[in-house]
Amino acid sequence: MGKLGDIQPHLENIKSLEGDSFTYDEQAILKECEKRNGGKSNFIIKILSVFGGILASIAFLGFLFILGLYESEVAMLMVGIGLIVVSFFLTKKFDALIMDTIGISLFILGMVLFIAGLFIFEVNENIITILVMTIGFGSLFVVHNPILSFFAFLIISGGLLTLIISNDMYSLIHPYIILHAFALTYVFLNEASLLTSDLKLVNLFDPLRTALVFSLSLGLSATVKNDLLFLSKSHFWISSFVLILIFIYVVTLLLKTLNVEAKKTKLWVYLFSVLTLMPTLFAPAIPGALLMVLLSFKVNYKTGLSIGILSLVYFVIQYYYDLNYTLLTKSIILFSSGLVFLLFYVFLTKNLKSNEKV
Amino acid sequence: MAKIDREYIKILCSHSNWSEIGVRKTLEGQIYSGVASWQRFLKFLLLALGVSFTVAGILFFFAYNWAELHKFAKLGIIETLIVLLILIAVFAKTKPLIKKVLVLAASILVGVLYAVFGQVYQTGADAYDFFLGWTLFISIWVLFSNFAALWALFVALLNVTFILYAEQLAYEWSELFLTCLLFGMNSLLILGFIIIPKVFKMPPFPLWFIQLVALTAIVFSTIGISSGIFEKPQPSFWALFLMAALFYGVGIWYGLKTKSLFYLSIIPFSVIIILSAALLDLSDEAGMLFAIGIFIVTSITLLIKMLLNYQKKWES
Repeated sequence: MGKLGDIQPHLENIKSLEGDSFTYDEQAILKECEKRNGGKSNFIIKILSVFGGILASIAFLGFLFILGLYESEVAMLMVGIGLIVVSFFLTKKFDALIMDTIGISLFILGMVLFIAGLFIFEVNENIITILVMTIGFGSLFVVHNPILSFFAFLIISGGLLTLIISNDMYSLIHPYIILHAFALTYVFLNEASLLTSDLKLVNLFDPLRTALVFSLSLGLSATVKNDLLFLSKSHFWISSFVLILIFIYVVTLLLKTLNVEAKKTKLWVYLFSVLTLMPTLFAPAIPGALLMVLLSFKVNYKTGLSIGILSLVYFVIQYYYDLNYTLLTKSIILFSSGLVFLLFYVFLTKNLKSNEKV
Repeated sequence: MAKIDREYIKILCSHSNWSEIGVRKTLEGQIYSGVASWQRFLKFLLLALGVSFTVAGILFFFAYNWAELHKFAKLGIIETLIVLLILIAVFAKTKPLIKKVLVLAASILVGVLYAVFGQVYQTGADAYDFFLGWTLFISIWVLFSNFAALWALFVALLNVTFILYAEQLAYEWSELFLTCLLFGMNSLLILGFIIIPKVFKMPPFPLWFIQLVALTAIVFSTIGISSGIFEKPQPSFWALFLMAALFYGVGIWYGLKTKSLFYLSIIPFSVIIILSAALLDLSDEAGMLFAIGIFIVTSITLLIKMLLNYQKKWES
């Protein structure tokens, strides 16, 4: 029976729960299971296609430049558009994992040539960005390849960041962060409704989720490294405030999952969360990364969890490094917050033990 | 009935009218983190945050270099802390994980002790002898606590000690020779980490740790060989080349034996990069660059096809 047999009991189970109204296309399901069995996308295979695609596009770019393609902007534009179209065609026509590498390399190459061509034509930077974002957005409807869709989402977010930077409107990074934080929370918490929506979002769900994690951490990093954007710190509280509110909202949901009913415990949890996050009112990166960690763990999403933890470690180190206190004050803050965490660890362990005994 | 995975849920969603509530219940019941995993996660998070913040606090305290604190007091405080942590780890009745975390904290404090020593006696904190001393003096704890995070610190310290020694003392070592040494050392370490637990019937090391060391070794060999190709051939290059060939062979065999896609992907990927560098060394004209591009796309595509075949074979 192999993998095809694996899904049968689940189908029966769903049928019994959903009742007579449940209909499904058995042939299509079996076909897709078979396809999946022949090529289950594995994390390491995806990484291979992405890195292979990037390396190959660098080699091809070298080839085209030695040939002197840069001498003709029209040729660059045409070749660029041509390659993007070919990459769409290939990944759409041959819906298989092994087409990913060639698809990705042609897509990257095409995009680089397209952008370079427009630059040589001296097209306005904003128009170039909007054009590139439009191609990214359009590709979401045309191609249903997870890696290309991931790139497309990244291009859209990256385009927004480019617009912010090239127009020197650095404070708009806060709406960027807030928008991405809301989107991330919505997507993570509404997986079921997105998967069952009539808009056919099933194939876009994974790329969207991963891209949101990447784009949010990119936006958050911009607030950490001050030489990247010239940001006024006086607006930082806006992002932080919203992020902390979303964080508290997720904590509320978490308390429900953990079946915490006692008012006193709830109060303690909220107090602990607020007190821990209070010092980050001017460092939105930290509540942002914490939000990613919390949401990713909630929905059991490992890539998001790893990126969240790595960002959190980096942001926390940078936060203390940049803090304008003497090392002694920093030491006291770190040491005492460390002790508070340990105290809560002991408190939690004891509490769980007494619960188990009951 | 086995638990359903996300992939199946998505397939079912795209070809049926499965209701939102049904999907939500399945996700919450079978995919999302339940009460038990949340409790484990929160406990671990608080312990990790607590220990790292406390140790960082101690580190910052000594970095402040308090002038009024006598040098004996400075060194004495850290030494007392180290002794205290180890005593608790050995004698206290607590969970093994907490004991291991305490030994890890003590091991980091040994580094702080050396840094303070360097600060007091003005010897500089990045002298290779400090890292050598740090590595040596925690090695017994590393061995006996057998904690992956502590092993990771130990391996990192070994690498740093070698690199600093080459920078500060061994001027006659070429960069390639150092790379060769580092590759050899990390490869031998992996062999040890895989074989020793089997021989002594101990629990195996976690996968992330072994793969991290393997990745480090492969990064060294890939960078060493691909950059060595462009230079005049020297004995270190051939030594690295032969060692890499040997260990890559062993790695592929091990990957096939343990059904691990990790080794079967990173080793060929390294070979593809090295071969591309060799092709570029032959000629850097347009035709060759085109050929390299084609070579990369074809070889990666074939590699992925092969990996998928193995995966299919192993799953059925």
